[in-house]
Amino acid sequence: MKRLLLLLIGLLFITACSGSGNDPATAVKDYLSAKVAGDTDQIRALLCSEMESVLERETRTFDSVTGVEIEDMSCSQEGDSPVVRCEGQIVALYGAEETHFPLVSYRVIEEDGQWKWCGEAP
Amino acid sequence: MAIDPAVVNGIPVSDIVVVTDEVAANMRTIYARGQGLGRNGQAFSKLGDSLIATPSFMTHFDTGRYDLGAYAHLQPAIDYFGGSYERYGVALRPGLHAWGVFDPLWANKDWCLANEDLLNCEIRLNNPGVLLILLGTNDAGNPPGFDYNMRKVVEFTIENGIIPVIVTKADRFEGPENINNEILRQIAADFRVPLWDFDLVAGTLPGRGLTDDQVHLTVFPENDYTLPEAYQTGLGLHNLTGLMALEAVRQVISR
Repeated sequence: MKRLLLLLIGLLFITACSGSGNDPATAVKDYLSAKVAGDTDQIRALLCSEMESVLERETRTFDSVTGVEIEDMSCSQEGDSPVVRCEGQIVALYGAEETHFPLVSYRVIEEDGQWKWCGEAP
Repeated sequence: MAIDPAVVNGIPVSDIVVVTDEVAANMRTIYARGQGLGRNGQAFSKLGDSLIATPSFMTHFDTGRYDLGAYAHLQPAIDYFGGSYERYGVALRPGLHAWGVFDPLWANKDWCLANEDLLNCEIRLNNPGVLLILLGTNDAGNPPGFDYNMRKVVEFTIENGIIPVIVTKADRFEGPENINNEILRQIAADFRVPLWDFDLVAGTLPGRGLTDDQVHLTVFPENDYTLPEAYQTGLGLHNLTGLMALEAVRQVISR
């Protein structure tokens, strides 16, 4: 019992002291959700510093849209690489027309202890 | 009744397609830059939304299914830019607005590279010397943002040796003040590039040439400008005046 308790404490310690507050795949999913919602604060928090200049563009991409949703999103990091591969799509409704934006692979960078979205990956 | 080819529904063509001497001189400068970059001066690309992302926009000029009637003098534009009319390209997306032009999210993933926006992608694929730009309908509620992004688009186009042709729109989707068209006119004047002021023509049409959704243009499948109906439909005159704009460009760059 004592060993189990020590093991649990050890696991908690490791988790608390890990380099990032999030994992790459979650960062990408959260970013895409923020982009769909036009959530400027969340986009800013998850956008890598080298892309700060396009913050407004990222926030306004779905302006003038009556309904935007992410469908069937699943993301996973490719091994230990700074790439997160996603599947699914964003669907936007413009008047009576649907426009589809397939999810692709994205680059992630760790900054200030957080994984951040940094554009599309080849 | 005989049609005066210098006029469309009472509006002088020179008011619809604005190419002043200053604009013409600047076009030659842009064109020369483009030739230095290896641009195809006889190809144009289309940048826009669902208003022109349709086979009813100009494609018939490549298929031969048209009769120009009194405007037969526009045939050289059809010959010169042949192959571009029917080409859809990757810079047309329903719902596209000025913010989306440089966002890679909007690019066609079947054709475009990672992190490549749809305009860069279209230029890479088609290498055009001319770009028709029809945006603004989906840019409601943020005139400064529309102005900022349209200027970026025009600057980028010119820097790449491509002549931008700015097009005004028939709809009032962003509101009755017509602010986006005014922005487009000012940008064309500021950058000294051709303006195709379709908004003026739309004012002569029943319902401004718009369908019930007040955004898209009424169709004219006959493409026959000997018929009076040609001058009462949105796409009928959109296609005709677009051809006039391309002819004006051809006359400047082919001299």
